Amino acid sequence: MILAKPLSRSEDLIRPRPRGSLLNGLRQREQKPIAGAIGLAVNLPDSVSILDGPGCLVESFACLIHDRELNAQDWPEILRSGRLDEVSGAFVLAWHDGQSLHLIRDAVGERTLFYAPVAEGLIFASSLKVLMNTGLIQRRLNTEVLARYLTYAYIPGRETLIQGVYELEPGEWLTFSQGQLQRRSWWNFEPERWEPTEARPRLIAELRKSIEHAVLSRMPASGPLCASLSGGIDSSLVVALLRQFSPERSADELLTFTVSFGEKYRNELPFSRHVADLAKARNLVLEASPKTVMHHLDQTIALMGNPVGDPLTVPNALIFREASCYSGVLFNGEGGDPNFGGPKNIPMLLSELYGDPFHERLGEQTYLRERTYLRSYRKLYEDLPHLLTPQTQSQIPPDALERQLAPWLDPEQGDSFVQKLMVLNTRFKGAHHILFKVNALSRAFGIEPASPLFDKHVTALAIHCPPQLKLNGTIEKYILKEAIGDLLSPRILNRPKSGMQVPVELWFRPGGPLHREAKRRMKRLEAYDLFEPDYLRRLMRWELNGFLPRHGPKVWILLTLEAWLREYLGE
Amino acid sequence: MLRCAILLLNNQWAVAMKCLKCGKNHLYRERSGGKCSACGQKFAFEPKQGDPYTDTLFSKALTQVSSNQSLVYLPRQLYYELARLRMRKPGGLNSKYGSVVGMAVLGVFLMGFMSIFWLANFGFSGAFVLVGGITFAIWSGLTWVVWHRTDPDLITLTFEAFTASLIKWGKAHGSLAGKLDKPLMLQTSQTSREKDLDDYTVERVIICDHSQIVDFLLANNFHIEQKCAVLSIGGYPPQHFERIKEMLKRNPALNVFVLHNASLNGCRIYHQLITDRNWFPGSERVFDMGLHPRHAAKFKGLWQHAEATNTEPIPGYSEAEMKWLSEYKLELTAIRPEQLLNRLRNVLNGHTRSLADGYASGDSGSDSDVMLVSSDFGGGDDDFG
Repeated sequence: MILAKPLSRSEDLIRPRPRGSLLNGLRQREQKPIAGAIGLAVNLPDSVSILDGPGCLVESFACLIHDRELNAQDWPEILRSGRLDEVSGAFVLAWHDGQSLHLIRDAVGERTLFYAPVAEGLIFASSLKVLMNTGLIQRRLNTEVLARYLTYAYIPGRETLIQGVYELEPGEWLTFSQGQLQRRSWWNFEPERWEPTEARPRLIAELRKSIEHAVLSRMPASGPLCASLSGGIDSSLVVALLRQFSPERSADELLTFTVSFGEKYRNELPFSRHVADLAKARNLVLEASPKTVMHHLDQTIALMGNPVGDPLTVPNALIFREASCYSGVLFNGEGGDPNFGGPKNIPMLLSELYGDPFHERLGEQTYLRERTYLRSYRKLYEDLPHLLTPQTQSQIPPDALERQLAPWLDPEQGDSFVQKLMVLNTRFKGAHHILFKVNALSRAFGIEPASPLFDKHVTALAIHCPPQLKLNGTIEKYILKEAIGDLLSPRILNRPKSGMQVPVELWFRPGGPLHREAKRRMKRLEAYDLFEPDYLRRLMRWELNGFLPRHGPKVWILLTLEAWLREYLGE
Repeated sequence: MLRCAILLLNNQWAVAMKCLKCGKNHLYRERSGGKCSACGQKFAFEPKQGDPYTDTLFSKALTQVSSNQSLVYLPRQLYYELARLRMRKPGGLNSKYGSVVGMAVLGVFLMGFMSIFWLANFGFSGAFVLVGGITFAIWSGLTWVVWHRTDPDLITLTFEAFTASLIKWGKAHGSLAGKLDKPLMLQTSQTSREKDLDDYTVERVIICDHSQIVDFLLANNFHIEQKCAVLSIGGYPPQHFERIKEMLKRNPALNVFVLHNASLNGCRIYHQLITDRNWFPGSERVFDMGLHPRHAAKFKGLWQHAEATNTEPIPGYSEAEMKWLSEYKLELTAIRPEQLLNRLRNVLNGHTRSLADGYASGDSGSDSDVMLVSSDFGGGDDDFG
C-alpha cells in the first residue's frame, strides 16, 4: 500500500474540520439560476433570474459559435435562425417566443434544467430546490426512479425521484405550447458513424486541436488558474495545457487540488505531486477525514437536486469550496473515462464471449445483455428483491430498468459492441452523474466547472473515433494518450491502474469511525417503509451474502438517499 | 438444556438427531421410522445404521460450501466440506483427547508401579534414572503415535459413500441448489451484427489444470467480476477456447496465473505453459499460484492417494516434494469455495496493486505474493476451513 509521504514544501495540506456550514458565501456565478412558469402564477425567489414573459434567459459558460463568444443578446437570433447546432459550451436556456416556451439543454449535459407540467401550465428551474419551493409540486416519490438510483447510484433519464418532475436530457429541445409538450434532439451525435482506423493520424491531430481549444476557451483571462488533479492522465493533461497556455503565471497562480483520505489509506499523491512539480504548480492537498465527510453529507446532498450516491460528492464539494477562495473557474479532467474508456468494457466483453452465469441461475430469459450491464455497476441491482419491501416492488413495472437500457444495447443495431458501451456511458454517466454533480456542487460556491474533455467537439470526435482506437487491445483511452502523449511524462502516461477509492468499506464497517452514525441514519431510512428493515440491519452488521458483498458503497448509496429524502420529501 | 443434559448422561448425544424442519431433537428410538415424530419430515441419514453423518452435519456443510446459498459449488467441494466437518465433529475430537489422556494416565500408573518395584528391590541408582528416562521416552513416543493415528493424512470419507449420501439426501430433502453437476453451457446474447468482439483483449488469464475449476470460476461470475479470462490447459471451455486463446495472444503483456492441484500432473502445467510454443514460451509474466506440496500440511486429512504415473522430476521441485507427489495429491476443491474465490481475488488484485505501488514509489522490482496459500496466511481450519 502506498502511504502518503510527508508533504513537500510546494504542497499545502488542507484539513477541513467537521463543523460549521459547508457554504462559504465568497462568490456567486455571474449568471443566476434560471426559473419561470407558463400558465401558472408562482412566487419565485430573487436569487434566480425569472422568465415571466416573451424573452430569453440563459445560464451558460464558455459558449462559442465559430470561435466567437456568445453573449445573452445573441441567443434569440441563433435560435430563430436554426443555428443552435453550431454552438458549443455549457448552457441551459428558456426562450419564450411569444407563442411557445422552449427549454434547451447543451449537447453533452454540462448544465441542467428541471421542469414539471402542472395543470395546464409548466414550471421550470435550473435548480430542483427552487422548483420544489414553489409549493406547486406534490412531494411524491417515483419508485421506478428509486430503483434506478439504487442500481446506478445516480439517476439516468429524464424522470426524477419526484413524480411529475423531469430533467431535460442532454441535447434536448423541449417546446411547450397550448398545454402540449414536444421533445426533440437538437444535436444528432450519430453514434453509428465513425471514421476508419486509417484516419488515425488525422483523428489524433484533430483531437489535440479540439482539446487545446476546449481548454483555452474556458480559461479565465486573468487571476489564478485552478484545477482538480488526481494524477491520472485526464486531469494531468488539463494541468499541463493550463501551464502551456499560461507560461507567465507563477506557481501561486496555477493551483492544483488533490483529495486524500489520510495517511492510512491508498492515495495518488505521488502522481499528483509529480504532475504539479512538472507544471510548476502549487499543489493543495485536501485531506477529508471520515467525520468531515459525514458532517457535510446532508448539506452536500441538499445542493445536488437529484441524489448522486458517489462517495466523492463531499470531497468534491470541499474542493470547490477551497478553489472558490482563488478563482471563479475550476478545471477538471472529467470526460476522459466515459468518452475514451470505461471500466465496464472488458467485463461486458467477457460476458459476451463466455456468457453470464446469472442468466441460468436466476432463470433470466430476456434482456440478457441489459441485466449483465446493470449488474456490472456493482451497486444495489441484485439486492433490489431483498432490499425493497413487496409493496415498493409492486409499484415498479416489470423489467423497467432493463427496458430503459435496451435501445442503447440492442445487438441488432450497430456494428460495434464497445461503441455502444461508450456512447451509453457518455450519455448516462457523463450527463447524469459526472456533469450533473460538478454543476450542482460548483454553483453553490459560485464557481464554473470547466470540463474540457466533455466539450461538445471533443465528445463528438470521441464518438467518431473507431472503437478500436479508444480501447486498443487492453489499452483504454489509446487515442487520447496518442493525442496528448507529449504533454505528460512517461511516468504518468504509462502508470498502471492503482484503484484509488474512497475508503467507505473501512469507514462504515462495524467498529469503523462512521459505523454508529450510519446505523442511526439507517434507522431513519426504515421509517419511510420503502425498505426491508431486516436487509438494512444485515447490511449494517456486514452480513450480506455473496462473493463480494460491497457493504461500504451500498451503505453510502443509502445514506445519500436518506439525506435526500429528508431534504426533498420531508421526514 | 435439561434434555441435553439427560442425553449427555445417557451417552446418547452422539446419536441424537435434530429435525431440520421443526428443530426437534430425537433419540434413536424416537426416529426409528426414519421420520420426525413431531412434523413427519424424513431423515436422510441414520448414523446408527452406518451413514457417515447426520442431516444436521450435511446441512451445515451445504451452508458453508455455498456461503449461505450465494455461491455455486462443485460436488467435490461438498465432498471435502463434509470430510472436513466429520474430522471436526465433537465426537471425533473427544475420542482423540480421550485416547491421549488415557495413554498418559496409563503411563503414570505404570511408571509409578515400576518405580516402587525398582526402589523396593534395588534402591535408587543411576540405572534407575536411565531406565526411567528410556521408559518415559518410549511412552511419549507411543502417545505421539496415538495422537497422530487419530489424525490421518488421507481423507477417510470415500467418494462412493458421499455419492450414495447425495441420493439419500435428495430423497428426503429434494435436490441441492447451487450444485454444479454438468459442464457449464453459458448463454450469450451474441449476434453476427457486432463485429468487434474479437478486436480487444484482457490483461490477465487464469489457466487451470481441470475443467471443473474453470466451470466453478465461470459459474460464480469470477471472469466478469475480475476482468479475467479463464481456460483449462486441456482446451476448456471447448466452445470458446480457440477464440479466447487468440484474444490472449493479442496482449504481449498478458499476466498468466496458473491454478492447479498439488499433484504430479497439476504441478507440471506451469512448466508446460512457459515452454510449450502453443502457450507462453519464455514469458516472465506467468505466475504459479499453486497448490504445491508445501501447502499440503494445512490440509491434513484431505489428501488423496496419487494416481499419476509420470514421476519424472519437475523443474523447481525438491526431492522431498517429488516424493510427496508420488504418494499423495491435494485437490483445489479441498479449499472451501468462498476461500478459494477470495484468495484468487486477493492474489490478482494484490499483484495489480503491487505493480501500481511499485510504480508509484519508483521501485520497479516490487513484487507480490502470488501464492494461493501464502506463508503468512495462518494456515489451518480458520483460514481454509
